[in-house]
Amino acid sequence: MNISSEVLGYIRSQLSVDCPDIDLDCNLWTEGYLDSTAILELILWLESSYNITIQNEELTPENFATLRNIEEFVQRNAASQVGSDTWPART
Amino acid sequence: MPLPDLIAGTAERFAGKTALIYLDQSITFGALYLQSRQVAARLQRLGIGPGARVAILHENALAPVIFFWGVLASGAQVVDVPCLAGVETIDEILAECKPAAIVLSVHQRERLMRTGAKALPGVVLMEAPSTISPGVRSYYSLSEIVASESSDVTLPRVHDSSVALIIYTSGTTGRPKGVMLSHRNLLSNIAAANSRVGLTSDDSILVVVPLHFIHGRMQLLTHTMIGGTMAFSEGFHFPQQVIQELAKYQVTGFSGTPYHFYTLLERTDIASSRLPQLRYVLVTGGAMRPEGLISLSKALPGVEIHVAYGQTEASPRITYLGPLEVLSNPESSGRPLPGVLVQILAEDGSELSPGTVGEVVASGPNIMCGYVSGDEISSQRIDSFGRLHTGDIGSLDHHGHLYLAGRKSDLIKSAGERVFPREVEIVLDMHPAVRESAVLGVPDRILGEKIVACVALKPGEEIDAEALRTHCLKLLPLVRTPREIRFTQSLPKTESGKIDRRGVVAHFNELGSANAA
Repeated sequence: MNISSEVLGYIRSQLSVDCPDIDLDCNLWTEGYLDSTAILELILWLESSYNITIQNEELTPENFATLRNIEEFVQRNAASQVGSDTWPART
Repeated sequence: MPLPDLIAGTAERFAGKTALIYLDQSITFGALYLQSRQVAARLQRLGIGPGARVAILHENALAPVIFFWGVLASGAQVVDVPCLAGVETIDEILAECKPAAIVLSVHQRERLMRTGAKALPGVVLMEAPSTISPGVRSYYSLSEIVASESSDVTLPRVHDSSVALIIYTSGTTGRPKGVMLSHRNLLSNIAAANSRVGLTSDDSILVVVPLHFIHGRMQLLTHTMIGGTMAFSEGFHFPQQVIQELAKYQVTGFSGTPYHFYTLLERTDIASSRLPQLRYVLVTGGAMRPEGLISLSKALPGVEIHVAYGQTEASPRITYLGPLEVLSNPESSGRPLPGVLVQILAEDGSELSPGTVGEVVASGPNIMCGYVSGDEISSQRIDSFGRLHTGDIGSLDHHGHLYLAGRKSDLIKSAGERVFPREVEIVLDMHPAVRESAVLGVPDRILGEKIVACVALKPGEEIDAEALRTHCLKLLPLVRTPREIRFTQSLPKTESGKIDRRGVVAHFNELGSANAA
């Protein structure tokens, strides 16, 4: 399963079940699928699921607005942690 | 004076000044006033006026504000429907207040159509023309109304004691309560609040809260009164972006709940940000801990910190604490606003002397007309003297400062949202595996209180916390869904067999994190 599918699965089960088959480039926040408190839960889940660390300055729409942004961010961060034998945590 | 006089007066004084900014769109007070009259003209043509209600279910943007002023100019009442409410809740609200029309965003319209909302009224108002088959409903777009209606119409003038706004908020029984506020209620409160914060036409504000909260409506009304510009944030999802917006729009003010301020303190570089134009911040919608206020003052040196306490039923402000007292008396929620009387009552209804703890009761021109459900007296929220029983416990000192000490009710304040446990327990208990549940708020550094649940399953049933949370999300928005669920064999009970809520708190802690979701 790819990262965007896993993220959508998490969103649908733990953040907003009213989340239809959304496009990879759909803005999860401005389209009203997620409320503002969801970002804190989402980043905690991403950090634990993909063994990455998300800094405050990285919490931007460029990194987290869409499923594609999130997938690319996770891949970039994982790539910067070469040598880690714990990623990907979810298979 | 009815509320439409606010926008009329401001449009006359500041016709060319920017009233609202959202993304790359903006509108002046003059255009906002004229377009709101065009909306009112269309509503009048549709037979919608005094006595009728128009619901608004729309995320923050320019169009819902134009519709808001248009509905009020028509003499009708605005019903604010929470955008994140589940469709069942929206249906309940619409069935109770029976609006003649509803203003919808594209997203909300798609959501209601997809999930089969039942109680939608026959008239739907949207920003742009609908591209779908209208079915049994009549659709009207703001763009078409502005292109075809005249603003030069005679509109009805309602009495200032009539209802202007209905805001739905959490109710003790689990059903949302429609709080009816009159023109007079709201005007008295915004005038008093403006005088305390010292707002002038030089002020402007960044809005991060939804307009369907009284907190959002208050920002709209106070800034319309003084001719101040409002900029809508893209949302509070990305805290650092909010700091950038404060700088980009060069606003002088920012109003948020403790949740907003704790998040900015922990998740942004607010202390090193350059915000020279920021004059004040207002903390409302919950009490911020003294150490939080101190951190905020260190992060924003030279910026005034104001604190307000209230609730929707009081339009909403009851007390106010100014910047000269916030750091010297941070435990206090302030003194009553002009015209508002605060009393502390004992269980028998007698008034208590300063320093004695009892229920906080407020009276004045800001106290609501009642609930749409009509049970404000039977539910003991309004007494025979017209006083509002807040459900908060506190005391006054000899100078009239209020100190809150707890709650009489089981209310939970999480991320600035008011949540009564019963509404969450009803949803948990609907799951076939659940025998009984108890929901409570536990202290949380960012959220204020975190909603958690203790659940006892029926014999032989199995479900994990994650699946039970998914079940809750089908009926509740995330902010009302338990963040943590712990399972138990049985819940602590009182002698009469009711759930012992104090006992549940201790029991939840005993269950420990090993049981946690």
